[in-house]
Order: sequence, then C-alpha cells, then structure tokens
Amino acid sequence: MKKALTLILMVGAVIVMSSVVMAQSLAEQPISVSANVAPYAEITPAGGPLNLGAFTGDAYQQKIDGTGLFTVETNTLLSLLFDFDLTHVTEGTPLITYFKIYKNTAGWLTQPDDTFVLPPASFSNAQAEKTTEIYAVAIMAKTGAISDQAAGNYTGTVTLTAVSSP
Amino acid sequence: MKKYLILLVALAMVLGLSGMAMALEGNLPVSDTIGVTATVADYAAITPSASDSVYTLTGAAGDDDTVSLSASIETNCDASVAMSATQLVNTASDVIDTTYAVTAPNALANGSFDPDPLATTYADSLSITGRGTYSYSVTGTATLGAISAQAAGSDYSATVTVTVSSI
Repeated sequence: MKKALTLILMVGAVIVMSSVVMAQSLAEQPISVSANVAPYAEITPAGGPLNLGAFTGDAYQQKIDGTGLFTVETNTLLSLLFDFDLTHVTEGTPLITYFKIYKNTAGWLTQPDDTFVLPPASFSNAQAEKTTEIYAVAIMAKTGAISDQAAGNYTGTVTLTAVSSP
Repeated sequence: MKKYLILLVALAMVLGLSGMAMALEGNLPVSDTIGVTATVADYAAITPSASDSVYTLTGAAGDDDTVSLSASIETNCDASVAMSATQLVNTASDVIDTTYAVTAPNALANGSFDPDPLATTYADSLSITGRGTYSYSVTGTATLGAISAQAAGSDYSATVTVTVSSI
C-alpha cells in the first residue's frame, strides 16, 4: 500500500514538473497608458451668512462679524483673491467695508498684526498642491457721517476666487 | 612500386563500380526518396494598439475615465494569455486607482485585474486553442481619490503587459 502511494506521488510529481517545463513564454508586449489630471480646487463656504446687525444711524459706528469660513481643497498650487462688498438694497450705495483673513496653518494673511484692511486682497501661491486649508474671514463695516450712507438694508458678499498659479 | 599502383587503381575501380550499381539499380526511369524533416517552434506575436490610451480626469473627487486598449495575438499553437499592469503613478509617487476589464475571444475567459491595491493579474487558458489570430480588448478605468489626494499634471503613466505562453 505504501509503495503504491509512493508510486502515485512520484507519477504526479513528474506530470506537474513536465507541465511546468512545457509552459514556455512565447511573446510579451507592454502597452503604455498615461493620465492627465486637470488642475482642480473646491471651495466650501461655512459659517455664513454673516450678519453685521443693526447700525443706529449714528456717525462713525463699526460692527464686526468674524464667523466666515472657507475650506479650500486643491490638487494644484493656488493663488487666492478675497473680496467683500456691502451695498444698499435699493440704492446700491456702499457701506465702507474692511476685512481680515486668517489661514489655519499660517496665521493672518492680510496683516501680521491682525488689523482690518480694505478689500480686495490677493495672495500669490497661497496654497500648495494637494492640500486642504481653512480660511477664516472677519468682516467689518463702518458708517461715515450720518448723511454718508442711506438708511435701509444692506446686502453683500464675501467672495473667494482661487486660480491655478502659473 | 608499380604493383602498388596497379593495386590502387584496381581498388578504385571496384569502389566506383559498386557505387554506380547502387545508384542505377532497377529499371529506368528510377526514383528514390530522401527523407526531410522540419520543426516549427511554438511562436506567437502580440500587436498592441490603443485607440485611446490617455485618461483625462477633471480633478474632481471621484472623477473617472476609461481607456480602450487591445492586443491582437497571432500564434501557431495552443497558448495561454496573461495580463498585468503597473499602478498609474506620477513622478511624485501619487497613485491613481485603476482597474482593467478584459474581453477575450472566448466569453468564458472574460475577466478583470487590478494593479492597486490588490495587484491581481488576468489569466486565460481557454481562448487560444490552435493557430490563428485572436483579439483581446482591455478597458481601463481610472478613478480619482479626494481632490487633494493626487497632484494635477500629465505625468501619470502605467504599463499593461500582455504575455503569451505555450501550453
């Protein structure tokens, strides 16, 4: 019985070895493929809408809202342009506006000393490729003399534009 | 000396006559055959083509694109076909996930393979039985990860390798 088993195993081994030897590579050919990933970025606003509240109409008041957020994800180097406007709903006349921008990994972009600046503000090569960054936006509006701005409602937007850096 | 010369001439005549007798034996016309053999080794040639070998991706998360490749295999023997591929990768080692689907001459041998992350290969021992020309179609699909998971650029490349082996 043991001899028969040994014989079967040997025959099996021979068959396997012969089939291995018979398999012979005849040809091999590579086919090249490539891919092009276009520059792409996504801006996700959060924290809005911003609300500066109600001015009494008195001269030289200022109000601040610091809750604006933009999350920017990109696969390429970006330059960023921030802008902000606030105008009378019916007359289209503006309130004086300021803002400041904070980048979560770099601190204040607009001014190192945390002061407000007039919009717009642009930043070349502001965000590296393959990154996700959060930008906090604080806005401020001021009234001038009582007669410098019309009474009524004002509306506006904070706009972030991202462009691929050359 | 003369005796040796005569002996030599006689020996040559005997050898020559016996040779003539072997060639001319039988009634005229005579014919004979000489066996000839030849061996044709197992052989295969692969002709790849790609109607569209460039993935064009917008950069948006999850965006995908497909490419169409094919391999025409001409063989003189039973053969098996195997395929594998490298990852689609750029110079910064960013990887784009790719998968490949194969349409074989024999539908039973249709299959797929995935260089990343499973690193599987395709193998077909069903479709090539006998000499002929066989066409395999390969559709590659590349799918982006998150926007920031891979850099923008056109420097991504990969190689699909087709191997034919005799059975």
